[in-house]
Amino acid sequence: MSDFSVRSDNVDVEQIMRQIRSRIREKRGVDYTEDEIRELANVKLEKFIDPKGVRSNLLEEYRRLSSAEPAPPNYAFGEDTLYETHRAPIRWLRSLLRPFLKLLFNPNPLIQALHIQSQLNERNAERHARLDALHYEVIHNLVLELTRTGVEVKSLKMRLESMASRLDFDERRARALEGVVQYRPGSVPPLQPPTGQEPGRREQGRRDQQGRRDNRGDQGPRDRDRDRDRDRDRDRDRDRNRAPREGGQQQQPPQQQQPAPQQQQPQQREVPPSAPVREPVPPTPGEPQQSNALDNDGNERRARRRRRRGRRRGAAGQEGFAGTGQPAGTADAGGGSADEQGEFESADGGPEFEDRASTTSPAAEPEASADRAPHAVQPEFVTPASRPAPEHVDAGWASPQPSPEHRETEPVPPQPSSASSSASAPPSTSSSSSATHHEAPVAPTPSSPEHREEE
Amino acid sequence: MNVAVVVQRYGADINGGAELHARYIAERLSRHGSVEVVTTCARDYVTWKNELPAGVEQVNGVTVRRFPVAHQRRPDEFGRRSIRVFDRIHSVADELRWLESEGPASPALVQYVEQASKDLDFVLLFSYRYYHAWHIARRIPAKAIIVPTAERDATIGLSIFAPVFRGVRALMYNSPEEQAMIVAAANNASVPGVVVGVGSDVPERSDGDRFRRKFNRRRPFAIYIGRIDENKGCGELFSHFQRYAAAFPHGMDLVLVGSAIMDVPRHPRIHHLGFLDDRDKFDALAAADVLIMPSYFESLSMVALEAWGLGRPVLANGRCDVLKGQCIRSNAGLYYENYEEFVEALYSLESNGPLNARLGRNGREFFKRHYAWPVIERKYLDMFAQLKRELPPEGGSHIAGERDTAMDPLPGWFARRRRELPPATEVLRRIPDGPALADPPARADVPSDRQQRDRRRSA
Repeated sequence: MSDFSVRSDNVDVEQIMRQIRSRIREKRGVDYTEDEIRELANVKLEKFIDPKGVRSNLLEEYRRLSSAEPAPPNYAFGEDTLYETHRAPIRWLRSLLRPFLKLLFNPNPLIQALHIQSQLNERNAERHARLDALHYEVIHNLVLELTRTGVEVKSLKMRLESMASRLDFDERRARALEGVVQYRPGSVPPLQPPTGQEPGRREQGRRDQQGRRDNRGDQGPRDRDRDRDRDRDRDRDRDRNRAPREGGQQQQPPQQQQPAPQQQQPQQREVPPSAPVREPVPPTPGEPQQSNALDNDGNERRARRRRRRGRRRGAAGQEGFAGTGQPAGTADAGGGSADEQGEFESADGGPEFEDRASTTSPAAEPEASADRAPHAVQPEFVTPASRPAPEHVDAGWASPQPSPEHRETEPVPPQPSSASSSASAPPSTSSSSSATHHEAPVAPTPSSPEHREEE
Repeated sequence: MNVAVVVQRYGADINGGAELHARYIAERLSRHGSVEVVTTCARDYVTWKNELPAGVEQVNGVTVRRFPVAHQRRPDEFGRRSIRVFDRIHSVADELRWLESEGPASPALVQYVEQASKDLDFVLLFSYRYYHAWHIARRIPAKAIIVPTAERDATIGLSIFAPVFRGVRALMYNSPEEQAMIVAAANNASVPGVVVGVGSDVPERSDGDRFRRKFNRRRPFAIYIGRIDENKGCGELFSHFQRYAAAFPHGMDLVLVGSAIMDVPRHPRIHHLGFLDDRDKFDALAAADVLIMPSYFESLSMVALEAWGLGRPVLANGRCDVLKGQCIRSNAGLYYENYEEFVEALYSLESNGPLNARLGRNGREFFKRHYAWPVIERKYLDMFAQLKRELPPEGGSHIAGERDTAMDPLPGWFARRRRELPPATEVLRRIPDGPALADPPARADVPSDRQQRDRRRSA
C-alpha cells in the first residue's frame, strides 16, 4: 500500500486521532468504549431485584415452597441392574442368555452412562441442598434488611411530615402575630427591614454576647452591683417619665407626628408581658416598611438610652439643642451614633427611611447589646416621635446636626433581606457601630429570639 | 480493442454509485477503443421494473444496448431468501435462488454477451453481486473482468461468489480494503487485480461564494452529499450533529445535498437543499469547511474523492474500513466511531484552520496522484495489455498450481441441495476487517486469515 499513500511530513491523521482519543479519555475519565457504554445502557433493570417487590413474608413463602417440593428422584444403577428381577427363573434365564445379548449389542456403555448419571444426580441433589441453604440465608438477610429499611423510611417520612407541619404552623403563627402588631392603633410606622439574621450570624452574636458576659463576670461582684444599682435608678426614672408621654401622644395618629420631627414627642408604649415576641419578617420591596415587635423593642431601648443620656447631660444639652426644638430626651440625637441617626422616617413623614445602621450591620448589633444594662427589659414600642431626626449613616459622629435636605436627597433603600443587607453593609458602618460600643452605648436591634432570651 | 461494459442500470440520469462508476469508465475507455454498454431496461434498483425501452441507444457518445428484465424483484421473497442465506445454514441452491430473486434477472442479456464475447476482447462486469455478473462470469471467465464494488456486507460470505472471483481474468478493485476482503473471502490472490477506483470530473475552479450567495449560506458549514438514507448512516449523523449543535451554539451548520429517503430533522442548523446539479454541487463542496461521510459501507466514496480533489478535508465514519483507510492513506481526513470522536474531530477541523488547510492540500495531492482520470485510464489500459500478453487459462482457475483446471463447477444436483453451508454473516465475521495499510499479498503466496490479521496488526 506504500504506493497508495500520501504521507505528509506535517500532518499525520493517525496521530491526530490518537490525540483526539486521549483527549476524550481525559474528559471521560473512565475509558469505556462505545460498545461497553451501549452494553451498560442496555442492561435491563428487571434483571435486578425490585426492592419494592420484596415482601416481608418472602422468607415464609420460600420455606414453604422448598419444603413442599419433594426431593428429585434418583436411582441406583449397578452392573446387573438391567438383568435384575425378583423371579428366580427369569433371572437365571437372563444370565444364561446374556452372552447372546452381548452378541447383538454392547450394553456396557449404556450401563456405564446410567451409572454415571445416577452419581451425577446424587451430586446435584447435594449441591442443590447446599445452595438452598445459601439461598435461604441470602433471602433471609435481604428481607430483613429491606424490611428494616422500609421501616426506617416510613419513620423518616413521618418525621419529615411532622417537621413540615410544625414549620407551617410556626409560619402561620408568626404571620398572625405580625398582623396583630402591625395594625395596632398607635403602633409605629415602618422602621427598618427586619433583620432576619442567618443562624450563623445569630450564633456569632450569641457567642459575642456570651464572651462579653464572661468578660463582665471578670469584673468582680462589686462592679456588677454598681451596674445593677445604676440600671435600677434608670428604670425608675424611665417609669417616672413614661406616664405624661403616653398620655400626650397616644391619641395622635403616627402620620400627623411625622412631618415635623422637631415637634415630635417621644412616645413609648409598654407591651404587655403577654405580647408575643416574634421573628422579623422581610419587607416587601416597594412597600412601605412596617414596624414589628422586635424593632419596637429595640427602639424602645434606644429611646430609653437617649433619655438616660439626656438626663446625664442635663440642661446643657437642652440649651444646646434648643434651636432645633427637640425635646430633651432626643437632644443627643444629632451627635448620636449612626444607629440612632438612621432610624427615622423622611422629613415629609413618609415611611421611607429606615435605620440603615441597624439593617446594614446586623452583625454589629449583638456586640452593642452587650453594653446594655444586664437587667431584663420589657419590650416596648417606640413611636417615630421618640426618635431623633434621620441622618445618613456616613455622616456618623461628625454630623452634629442632621439636615433635612440631606435626608431627602439620600434616602436609604429598604434592604430586602438580611443576607443582602449584610452583603451590602459598608465596613465603615460596622466599624462605627463597634466604635460606638466603646464611646457611647449603642442601642442594639435584637432580632432573634435567642437574643431576647439572653436579655 | 473491443470492450463491453455490463452493468445493471445505465443512463445519464442514473446516479447510483456503481452505475455512475460504470458510465464514467465506459465514456473514458471509449476514447481508446470500441466500447459497448450492455444493460437492462430497469431504472429502479429495488424493483428492476422495465422502464426504459429495450434496444440500442447512444448515451454521451457510447452505444448502450438494453435488455428487458425477466421478472421484477419480489421484496417478500427476496427478504425471505436473504434471511435463509445470511442467517441460517443453507445450501448452494438456496444461494442461487437468492441470486435469482435479487435480480435483475435478464437471461437475454446474459445470452447476448455470451454470444458477442467472441468479438470482444474483454467484458467489464460491474457489481459482482448481481445476476448478470455471476452468470456472465461463469460463462465467459476468460474474458470477464469484474469490478466488484464490494462492500463489507454478508453477500461476500456467500459461497457461490468465491469460484467466480477465482475464475475470472482480473479484478479491478476500488480500494485496498476491498481487495483485502475479497482475497480473504475467495482466496484469489493469484488472480490479476489492481486497485483502480474511479476518477471524477472535478472542475479546475469552483466558486464557493456563488453557492453562498445563491443559497444564502453565510455561516460556516459541513456538507453531506448523497442519498439521505438510514443505510448511509444519515440517522447517526443527524443524531450526532444535533448533539454537537446543542454543545456548540456557534459551531458549523450542516448542509445536505441529495434526495431524501428518510426524514430530515427540523433543526435551525440543518439545511436540506435537495438534488443539485454538478456545478452547484462542486461549488457547495468548495464553500464547505468539511465533507462528512457517515456511511458504514462503501467500496469507494466518490464524493470523498471529489472533496479531496477540491482541497476539502473529510470527516468519515471510522467503522467503514474503506473510508478510514482512505483517510489514513491520504492524510486528508479524520474519522469517528462515536459521538465523542465526532465532536472532537469536527471541532478540530472547524477551529484549527491550518490543520484544515493541510488536510485539504493532502487530499488534493492524493486525488491527483491516484484518482485523476489519466491515472485511472492508464491502469485500465495497462491491465488490458497485461491480460492480452498473458494467455488466458483454458477456462481454468487462477489458483497457484491449478491453472489448467476449469472454474470450479457447481456441485451436483444432490450436493447443491444439501444444506451445510454456514450463514453468510458468520463467514463475514471471519474475514479480517480494518483499514488495509499493509502491502497486498503476493500472488503466489496466499496467506491464511490469521497471517493476514497478524500482518495488519504489525503494520
